Amino acid sequence: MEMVREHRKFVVPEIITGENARIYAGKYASNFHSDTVLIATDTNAFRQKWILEILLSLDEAGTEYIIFSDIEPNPRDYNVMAGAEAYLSEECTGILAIGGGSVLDCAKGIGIVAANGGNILDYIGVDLVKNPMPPLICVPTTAGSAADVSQYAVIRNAAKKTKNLIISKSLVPDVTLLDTVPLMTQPVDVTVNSGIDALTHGIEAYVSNGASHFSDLLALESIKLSAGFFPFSVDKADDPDYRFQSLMASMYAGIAFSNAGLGLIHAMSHAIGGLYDLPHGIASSIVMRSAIQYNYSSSIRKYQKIARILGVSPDITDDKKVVKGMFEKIMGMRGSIDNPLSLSVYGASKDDIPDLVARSAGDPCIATNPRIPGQKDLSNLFESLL
Amino acid sequence: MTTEKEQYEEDLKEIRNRIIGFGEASVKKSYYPQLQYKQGELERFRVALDSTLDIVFILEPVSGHIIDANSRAEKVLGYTSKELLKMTIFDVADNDRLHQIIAGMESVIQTSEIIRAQVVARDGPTMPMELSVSSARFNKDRYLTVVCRDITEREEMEAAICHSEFQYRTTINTLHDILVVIDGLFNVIIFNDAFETLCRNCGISGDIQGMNFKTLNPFFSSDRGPELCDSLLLHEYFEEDLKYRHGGKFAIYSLRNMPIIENGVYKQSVLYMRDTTEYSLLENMKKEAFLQIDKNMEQFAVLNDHVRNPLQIILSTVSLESDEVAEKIMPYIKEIDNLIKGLDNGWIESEKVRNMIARHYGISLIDRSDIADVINYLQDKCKSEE
Ligand SMILES: [Fe+2]
Repeated sequence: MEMVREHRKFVVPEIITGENARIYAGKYASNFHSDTVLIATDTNAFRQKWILEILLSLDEAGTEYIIFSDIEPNPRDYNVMAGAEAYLSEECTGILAIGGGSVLDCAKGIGIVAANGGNILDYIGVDLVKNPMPPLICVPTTAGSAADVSQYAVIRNAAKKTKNLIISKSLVPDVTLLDTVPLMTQPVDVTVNSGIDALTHGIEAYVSNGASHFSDLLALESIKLSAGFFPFSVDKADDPDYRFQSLMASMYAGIAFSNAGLGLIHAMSHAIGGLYDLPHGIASSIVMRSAIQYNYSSSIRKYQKIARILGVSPDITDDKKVVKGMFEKIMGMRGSIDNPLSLSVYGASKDDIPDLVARSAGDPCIATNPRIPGQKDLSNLFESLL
Repeated sequence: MTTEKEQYEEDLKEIRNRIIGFGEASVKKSYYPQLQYKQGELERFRVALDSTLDIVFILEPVSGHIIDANSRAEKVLGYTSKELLKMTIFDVADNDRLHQIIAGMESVIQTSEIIRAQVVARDGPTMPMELSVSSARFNKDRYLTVVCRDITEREEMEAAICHSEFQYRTTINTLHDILVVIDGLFNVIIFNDAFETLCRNCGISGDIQGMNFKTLNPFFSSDRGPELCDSLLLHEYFEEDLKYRHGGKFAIYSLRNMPIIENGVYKQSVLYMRDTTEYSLLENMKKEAFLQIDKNMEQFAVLNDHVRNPLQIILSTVSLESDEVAEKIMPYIKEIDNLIKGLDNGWIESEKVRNMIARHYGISLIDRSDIADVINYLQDKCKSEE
């Protein structure tokens, strides 16, 4: 393991793990003196039985709440602004986010606007959020985005059809309640796409130019866990052990990438996800092979390590074959999920390439990629996806 | 010179630096700096509140219990802050209206009212104060704020103004003459009792204050013509005789306009009207008497000639007939002639007086129309007295 002596920093939220960890929501709201919390959620999550225990815990703590569930997948800037308006008009003093990556990202956006004013699009970029947002308690219902432990939030600019990153240490939530129960009710494709997302987080954090000994530990552990429990089959849906492992994998990867940074997979995934409004896990799967291939030479040792963990035989040493083996292993992890992985299927054409290149070149994730691609490189990469 | 590519890579380095947590604003979400800032803000506000000359109370609604008081309250009222916090607002201002307001404010969303009340200090002295009572909501609780301002000085000033206004009123009302101040649009601003009497005599009812001076137009005329006010140049000083006619009454007023000019701009006019009817009558009677004498004198001069001519004939006839008789008559004729000469001389003397009088009254001995009104008036008066 590499020891980096360059400056590194680690920021992590309070984390409670375990079955029914969600019931701590009321206690934390009360500890934060949040008399009224805004519950950011989606209508699907809010229909589930397990939400009752959360509401009960709030009642017991004497915390009032308002529900804000007007959040679309790939949350829009206007979703955030509507949430912030509800937050301010109801004089809330804390946010409880219950949902997947979209809900968590939107909740962060609401917090930013509530504490800093203006429009959420004013904060697009890195380290631009000045005032800490209100207390944020997270109950993730998917194991992938890890927005509940990370300093990242992705907001879609509806007018420009772009996915924009807001990265700031003040976006790290105060507490995350990693509970297996809410995960049981998620659909199979969500489980798989989230898992693939977590795996890419682990891989990108591990090979990032901002990686550290600490992040490497977590990244490798997360890849190991992911390799262990995939491919996913429906009969594992209610298996708490399985769900717990997936939560841990997501959390480790999340903490790793939040501190070390992401890379080319995410820079390209955000570009196509924005332009074609694709789910993040699918977009990442589409770009993964080309991106890894491009990066491979800049961090051979680390990629080989990943390949071994994923089960690529140590006998395969040819770089191209290692990448191919790695990709096949990952695709195998997708199990029954077989979304087409060609960009053309989602309406892309050669004409879109300059736009996609510009989007990914401007994505902050590119800054922590082990190799900085030029315009030509990016253009070739996107062309290979058509 | 840096190329575009070098600049891009430089920018990415800066972004990477911020992602891994070394940007300017990058710290784990911490409320402490904000808390300190807010605390500072609060302390500044407290200092401002304590240094104000007004007493400020924060009260519980309904009960009027004092929750907080600024240091001015302690200083002016002579209680310690501990003592104040055990008291209600009614201990210092037991005012009926205040009781009503504070009891009623619970139900009202947002309101404020200003009342005057006597505020009692610890040892019994009372001060007239103006209390501004308002209701405010903080979180879910409602509070009342009462700001008490000492108005002793203001009341003294008001009394002084009242007194001086009374004095000037009394002064202008003792004037037998009319005094009225009007603005450029002829609106009455200030007036005395004499003016009010004139208006009432003209049959004007309602407020004199703010009335238009032109309302008096139908009752006055001058040499300028009937539409008196239209021809008045208010911004110039002038004196003018006005004739008043209403309901069989006739009077002459001498009107004097004294414009008030401030910084070269006309503001108002002080109109001063004196009833000069009696004076005018007297002057006109003198004039009439003089004219009568004048006429008599003229007739007398003619008479002289009438006497002198037969006398001349008598003298010449007698001298032809008899010297003796002529001698006897001669002294009498001489006496008559001397008498006539004396009368002629007297005529010459009176001619000087005539001219002098004519000049003094500014009248022509032939034209007497200007006293027609007076004569008519006198004739009417005589008739009515008969
Ligand atoms: Fe991701």
